[in-house]
This record gives sequence, structure tokens and C-alpha cells, in this order.
Amino acid sequence: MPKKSIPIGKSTVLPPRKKDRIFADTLTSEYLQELMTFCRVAKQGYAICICNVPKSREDLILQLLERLEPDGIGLYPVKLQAKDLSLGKKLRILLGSGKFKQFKNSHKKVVLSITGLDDTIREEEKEFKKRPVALQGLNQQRDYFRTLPFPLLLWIPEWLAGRLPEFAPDFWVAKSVVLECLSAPEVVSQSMSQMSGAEIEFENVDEAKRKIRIYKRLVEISKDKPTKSTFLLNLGILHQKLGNYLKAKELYLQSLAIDEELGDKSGIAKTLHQLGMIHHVQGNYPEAVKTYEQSLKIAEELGDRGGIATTLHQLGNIHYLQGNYKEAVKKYEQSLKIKEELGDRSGIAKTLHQLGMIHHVQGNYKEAVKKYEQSLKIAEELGDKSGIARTLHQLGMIHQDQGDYKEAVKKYEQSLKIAEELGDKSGIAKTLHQLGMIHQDQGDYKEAVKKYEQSLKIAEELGDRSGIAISLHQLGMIHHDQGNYKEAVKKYEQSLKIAEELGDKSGIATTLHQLGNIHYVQGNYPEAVKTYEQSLKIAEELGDRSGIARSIGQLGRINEEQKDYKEAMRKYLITLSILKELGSPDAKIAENDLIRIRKKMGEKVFEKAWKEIAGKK
Amino acid sequence: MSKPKKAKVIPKSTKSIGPANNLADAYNAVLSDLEDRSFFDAYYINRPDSPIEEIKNRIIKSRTPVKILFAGQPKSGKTTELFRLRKELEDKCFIVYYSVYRDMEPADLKYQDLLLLSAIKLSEEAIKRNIKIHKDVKKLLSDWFIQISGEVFETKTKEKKRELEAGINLKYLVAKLGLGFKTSSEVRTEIRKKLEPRVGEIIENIDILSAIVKNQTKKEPLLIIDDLEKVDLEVAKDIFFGHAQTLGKPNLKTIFLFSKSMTYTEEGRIVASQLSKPIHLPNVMTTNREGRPHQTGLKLLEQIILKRMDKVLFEGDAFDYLFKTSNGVLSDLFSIIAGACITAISKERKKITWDDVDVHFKLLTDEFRRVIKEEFYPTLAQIYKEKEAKNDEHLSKMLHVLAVLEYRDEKGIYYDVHPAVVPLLQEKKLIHSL
Repeated sequence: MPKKSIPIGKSTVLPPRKKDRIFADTLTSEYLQELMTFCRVAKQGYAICICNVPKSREDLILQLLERLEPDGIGLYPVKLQAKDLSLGKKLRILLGSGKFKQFKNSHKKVVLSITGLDDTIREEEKEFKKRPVALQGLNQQRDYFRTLPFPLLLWIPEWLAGRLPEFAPDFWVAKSVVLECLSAPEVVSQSMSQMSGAEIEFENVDEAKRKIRIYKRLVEISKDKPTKSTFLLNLGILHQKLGNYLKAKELYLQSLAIDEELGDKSGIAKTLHQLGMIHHVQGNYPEAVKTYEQSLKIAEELGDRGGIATTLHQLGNIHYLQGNYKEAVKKYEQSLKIKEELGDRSGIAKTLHQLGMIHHVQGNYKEAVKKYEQSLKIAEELGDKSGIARTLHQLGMIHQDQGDYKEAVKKYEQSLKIAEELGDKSGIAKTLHQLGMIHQDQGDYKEAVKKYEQSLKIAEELGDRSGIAISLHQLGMIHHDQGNYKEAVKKYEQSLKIAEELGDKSGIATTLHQLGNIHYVQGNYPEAVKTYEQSLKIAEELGDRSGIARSIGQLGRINEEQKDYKEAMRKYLITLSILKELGSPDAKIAENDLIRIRKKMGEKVFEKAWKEIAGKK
Repeated sequence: MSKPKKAKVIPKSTKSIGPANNLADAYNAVLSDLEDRSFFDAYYINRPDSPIEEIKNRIIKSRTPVKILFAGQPKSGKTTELFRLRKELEDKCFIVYYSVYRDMEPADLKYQDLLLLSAIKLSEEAIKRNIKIHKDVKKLLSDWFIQISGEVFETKTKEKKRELEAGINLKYLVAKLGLGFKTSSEVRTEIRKKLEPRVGEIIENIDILSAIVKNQTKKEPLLIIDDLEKVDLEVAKDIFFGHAQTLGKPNLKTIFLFSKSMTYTEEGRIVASQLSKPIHLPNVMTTNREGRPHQTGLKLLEQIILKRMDKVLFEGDAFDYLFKTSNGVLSDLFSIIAGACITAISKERKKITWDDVDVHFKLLTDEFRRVIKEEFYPTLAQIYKEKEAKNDEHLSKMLHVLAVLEYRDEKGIYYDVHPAVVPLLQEKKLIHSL
């Protein structure tokens, strides 16, 4: 997350009447200078000013007005309304009016500033299949506009700029200049918030692409190195959020090079953090940790608490992925503490979410939901779509784990919708995967495979090895459920390989368990026991109670097959007690196991064994 | 007490205007309208490739009322060349010039309208220059105008009515008719209805006026209809195709501005065979079809620029860069220079740098990016590589928006992509970046 702070120009306050630049904000002052130059230099003709955001436009016009007055240049605003279908007519009336004549006489020079042309294009004309009425007149009267004895500023939004050359070509051709005043200041000031690590946000993919274009231009035109470095960084972040990891990395390295040249430690720390995220998301955990720790070190040197908090959070993420939950919690709690001191609500929401995930993965569903709901609340208050999508997904998982598929699908579909708006491929892949699992649980294998394969495809596009491993595992399970054991083993082993490369203990445990199931179902008990015990060991390391229960339950079944009913019963009891605590629907299965074994053992033997086990406890 | 007059913002200088020596003057110089006589005299350069000489000769030497179709891509400088023509033919011709944009409603234009307006404008010009029109002729014309204009002339005052009936106030008649025709679609519809069986009469009246003018002034009347190439292609086809012969009938030498897109159509070819082969104003070539620099074109552009502004206002390689940005489209060249002036002045510099030019060249690319539809890109890439183009819908549209430029050399016609479109092709990886 970029944390460079560039002072933001106070664009809402009227500046004092000085010639020097008030705005440190690079772009606003550039636009303003060009507009002023046009007003001063041009004797006639019209400049097309492309500006999308009414507020920016109003600000610029206000600035112009203030700055031109002392030189005797009067900026005369003309606002077109929907009914003003002929600009020429409106101007003729206006210019003949007493009010205007008075204005003209009290100034050395007049410039007309015309807004509202886009309002004269009716909704139904916006399809642009035919020339809109308002534009017809523009075209015909271009000589009138061109030869008026004062220069004109014609303000239009970008969408209209795309249409004028086609529908009023002669008007377009006769323009004096084009001044693009795109709303980059908004983009820049948003991202340069001083809080604690600002984020480059966007509402949807189109906006992201537009911001990418703006930043690209900013990079091209910025001569000032520190500024260029920041823009490169921001551009990288935008690409990263869209999943273009290679492009993001390239941009980060460019930014880093400049920072190193300038000896800008703060910049280096931020960029290293981002580079760490790329390694992270591609599953290169050792590299990621190394890079994050480099960043952290510098942040600590600089006393950059916001930066420290953010990088601690990321390190927590890596521990989490590798199943080092205790370490992860430690890092998250350190991060959370700093964020609370800084009042970084966005960061707090993220870390709460992560803590929720750790509870979740250890089966503490109640605690997990608590943390998720806290996180979701803040994300909703902040309008943080990305955070909302993530947390909804997690809540979906909890519903799913507790067997409430209806609620789970609801949450997943909400999450998916937002992820698609944001172009968050990683999020889309994860949620598709979960929906696949629900289909699978309900026996709809066709739909399940469809979802898994969609998810797998995206994971491959992203180079998200963790995601690939998970999808492969699930596809294995489908083959498994359909009795295609050979295929199933193949997929499981592919998944296991990646999980081992990643050091993803939870993934290893789960896949081992499944392989154990295959051995079991083929009657190969020694192999099965071996594999289940490997899985159990890891689940115990992780404190993954659901996984422990699973493995013990299976081992119990093998005991049962081998007629060691007492051992089997003991195992089933343990399984039942864990699953009941978790509120898992699988508890029923464990109950049935006990009922069955009771029948096999006979009442008396059962009671005796029960007492023994109870006594031992 | 009257207020002292404020100095006019636009100086009508009587002394000759030289090349600008500062950026503010340069800005205004490149954007100046050459239809203003003083600017024309100051800045106009004779283009060696211009067909104006040819047109001039045809008009002077022809004994028949020749009809010329003058075509060229948008922004190629046709109106300026016509201005030169008008200047040069002033002594030999009685020039009547009108624009379908200024004097008519181009969206609703029919062939009869052109004829009617030609008659109206010819009358107006004759009256303006005090051509003596015999009483009888005046009456004839007035009666005719009144007949076709019907209710347009609801005369309110008795005097006007009497005058009208006497056919004396032809001037008033013609002015009112022209205005009504331009501004009201009802008037147009009504008049067209009345004209339908009487198109022959319009032609007769034009011939009469034409003869009177020639007789009195000893000058050949010449009618120039400008902006006709800007009307919608469908409207233009409707006007020319099928009515070309009628349009050709008046005994009046005429120059019609003709849409280049139409020259690519079958209808256009037929019109040309009935009236005359279109004369094209070519784009200025700065590189030839092999991609090598074309010295004549480069020299011309250089002269055009330097007549307006001093070379010293360009720093380093900014001047050379200019030639790569427009490949002969003059108005884009001026646009870029004007923009560069603004940028340089805003940064408190006295000279234009390479970067200033580049910024505005990129803005031009942005314009194309907004306008060119996705489906055109493959064709554009092909044209870029082969300098040839298939004559189809795409070509017509792309010529119209200037994404594709047509050039003419000894070998014939060839095409190239506008330099500002090339970066878009590179962006889309359709061609290699340099």
C-alpha cells in the first residue's frame, strides 16, 4: 500500500490573488495554467475543455475567474439547459443583452465559459444513432462561434468528446485547442490520504481501467522523479488488484529503481511491501517473507507506524497460509494494536477479518462469526466493497461448514456479485470454488465440476498455486464420489504436490485424508491407516479440530472393520464429542457409528466399555 | 456623454503582418482564419500541388457552362484554396458564393433547393452590385418568386403589397424568401411542392439573370456552392445521383463542393460521368509511398509554418518532430502548434519544446481513440503496412474521420494511416513498435 504523502491542493478554497502556484497538486495547477494561458493569449475561437467531474470543473472555473480578474479579463459563465438546443441562438440573445454589454464594458477582455452542452443532448439521443438536434446547430454555426470577438471555453464530458468529431465534424475541426482536464486530481488526492497506508480504490473494472489510463499518462508526463515513482507504484497497485501480477511487478521494480536512486527510504519500504505481496499471491512464501521483512525493517527505522502495521498484517497472512496459526495471531494482534492507535478503520476491518479466519479454520465458529461481523460492519461503513466481498465469502463458509447451504449460497452469491464488479479474479475464483463444494455436497456433480473448473482456470491465469491446489483437490473428490478412483488419486496427488511445495499444512492434511479414504474404500487398510495418521498428525499440529475428528473417525472405521470394536467405539466417541461441539451436521454420522457399534458389541459389552472409557476421561 | 471606444480586440492592421516572434502571437497566427483578407495576404502560400490552376483554366477557357466537382478530404484546405480562386478570378468573373451551411438547412436539402437558392443568390448579388435589371425582367422574376412562395409573402402593409405587385422590391422579396426557406421546414415543403412541375422555370430564370450579368459586367458569372461535401452522404447521393443532368442544365459555370467519400461510390462515378470528373485537392505528402521523406511536401509545410511564426520559437528538435505528427493534414498541424504554444506559455517558457509538441500529438491520438471503432483496427493495420486499401464501407468512414489519408502521386492513389493513429495500432499490438 502506498503511503507517500503529497500535499493536496486545497481546491475548494479560493486562492489569494497571486501569480505563483498555490497547488502542490501537480495536475490541477497544470490545467489551470493552460486554461489561463488560453484566456490571456487567444483573441477568438473556442477551446474544448474535457472534464468529467462537475466539482473539478466548477473549481477550475472559480480559480480562473479569480485569477483573471486582476488583469481585467472577465470570465462570463454561460450555462446551457436542456431546452437550449441552439448554442448560437442562446449566445446571440445573451450578447445582445444589457447585462452582458455592461460586463463587456467593465473589462478589457471577455472570455465566455460555456457549460451544460451535455444537458442539451436528450436521453433518447444518447444512443447516437442519429445526430442529436443540439449538435446539428453547432456544426452549422461554427463560423459564428469562431469569429466572435472573444475566446470561448466549451466544457464537455469525455463521452461527448468522443461524439463531437462524428456528429459535428466541422465544429470539431474548427476548434482552437483541446484541454483535457480529466479528474486526475481526484484520483491523486484519494490515494495520497495521510491516514495509514492509503489504498487505490475503484468501484468497478471500467473505473479501474480508466484510472490505469490516467496514471499511465501521469507517469508519462511527470518529470519530477519522486512523483513519477509514486505514480508507478499506484499504477502497479491498480494492476495488482486486477490480477495482472507480472505487470504490477514490473511497475514496482521501476518505482523501486527510482526510489533507490533517490535514496527515498520511505518509498523503498512501500514498494518492497508491494513486491512482497506479489511473491505472496503467487505462493512464493519464503521470498515474500524476506521482502516483507526488509520493508518492515526500513519502516521501523523511519518510525512509520502505518507501514509497520500493514506489513505485520501481511506477515500474519503468510503464517496463516502455512498453518502457523499461533504466529499468525501474534502478528495480527500487533498490527491491530497499532491500527487502533492510528484510527485506521480500514486496516482494522482487514485484520479483524483475518483473526476471524484463524478462529474459523480451527473450528471456533462462534468466535469467527463475531470477528467477521465486526469486520463487515466497518467495511460497510467505509463502503469498502473489496472487504465486504471477502467477509461475506467467509461468512458463507461458516454457514456451509454448519450445513446451512441455503444461507451459504446466499452469502456466496452476494460476494461473487461484488467481486465481479471489482474485477477481483482471485475473489471470484475462491467463491466459485465454494459454490462448487455446495453443489458437490448436494450431489449435483455436473454443476460442481463446472464451478471448480471455472475456478481452476482463473487460478491458473493468476498463477495462484494455492488456488490451483484446492481446485484440483475438489475435482479429485468428485471423481472419488463417482468411483473413478484412479482419476481421483491422480488429482489428489497433483494437489498434494503443490500443497507440499507451498508448505500448506492444512491443504496437505486434507488431501492426505482423502487419499486415505481411497485406500480405505479399496480395502487397503494398512495404507489407509498410515495415510490417516499422517493427516491426523498435521491436523493436531494445526489445532484443526474438524480435521482431527475426521481422521479419528476414519481410523475408528478401520478398527471396526478389523473387529476391534472397543477401539472403534473409543474413536467414535472422541469424534462425536468434537463434532457436537462444532455444531457440525456430521455429528449425526458419528452418532450413527456409535449406534451401529453398540449393536455389534451388544448392550452389555458396550456399557462396560463405556464405563471404562468414561473412567479414563 | 459617450464612453471612449475600447480598442477592438482583433487588430485590423494595415501594415503587413510578419511571422510572429513570440508564442502568444504565434498561437493566434496559426489559428487565423484565412478568409480574412489581411491574414490571407500575410500567410497564404501557393500550394504547388493545388488543382486551383487547373480549375481556373477550365473556368476561363471553357465556352460551355462547365460544372466542376471539387473534392478533398475534410480539413485539407478546400475553402482556403477556393478563397484563393475567388481572389484570382475576381476581375474575370462575377462570383456568387454561398454555403449550404450558412444559407440553408443542410439536414433537409433537395436538389431543387440548390437550384432555387442559386437563383436567389444570383439575384441578391446582382442587386447588391447595382446591376441594372430591366423593369420587365424584374417583374417577371418577382411574379415568379411570388407564385412559388405562396403564403410566405403575407404582406401586412399596403405599400409593400403595391411594391411587390409592381415587382419593384425584388430585393426584399429575395431576402425574405431566402430566409424563410432556410429557417422553416414548412416553407420548404410548400415551396418544393410548388416547384415540382416548374424546375425548368428556375433554370430559365437563372439563365436570364446570368445573361444580364454577363452583358453588363462583361464578366462571366461563376457560382460556387460551398460545404456541399459536408452534408450526409445519403442526402448528397439523393441530390446528385439522378438529378445530375438537371443540376448541370443552368447556363452558369458552377463549382460544387463534392464529398470525397462519394467519389468512392458507384453513384459518385455516375454523377461524375454526367457532370465532369471530380478535381481533387490532394493532401500534402511529407513521406512518399515508400515511406521516404518527400522534399516538396516537407518544404511546403515548413514554408507555411515559417510564414506565421519564427523558427527560433522552436527549441531543439521540436520543429522536426512537427512534420512527423501530421503527415500533411494542415489543420492538425496548426492545432498541435497552437496547443504547444499554450503549454509552453503556461510553463513560462518562450520556446516550444519536443515535449510540448508531444503532449498535443498524444491528445490527437486520444481523439482518434475515442472515435475509431474496434472493428476498424485490422483494416487500419493493413493499410499501414501495405499503403493500399480496399474500397469498402470501412474505407469511406475512415477517410471521413481522417484516420486514413489519401495521397496522389505519379503512380496514382495510395493510402496511409494518420500518424496519430499509429500509436493506437502499436498499443493494440497490430504493428511493431519502433
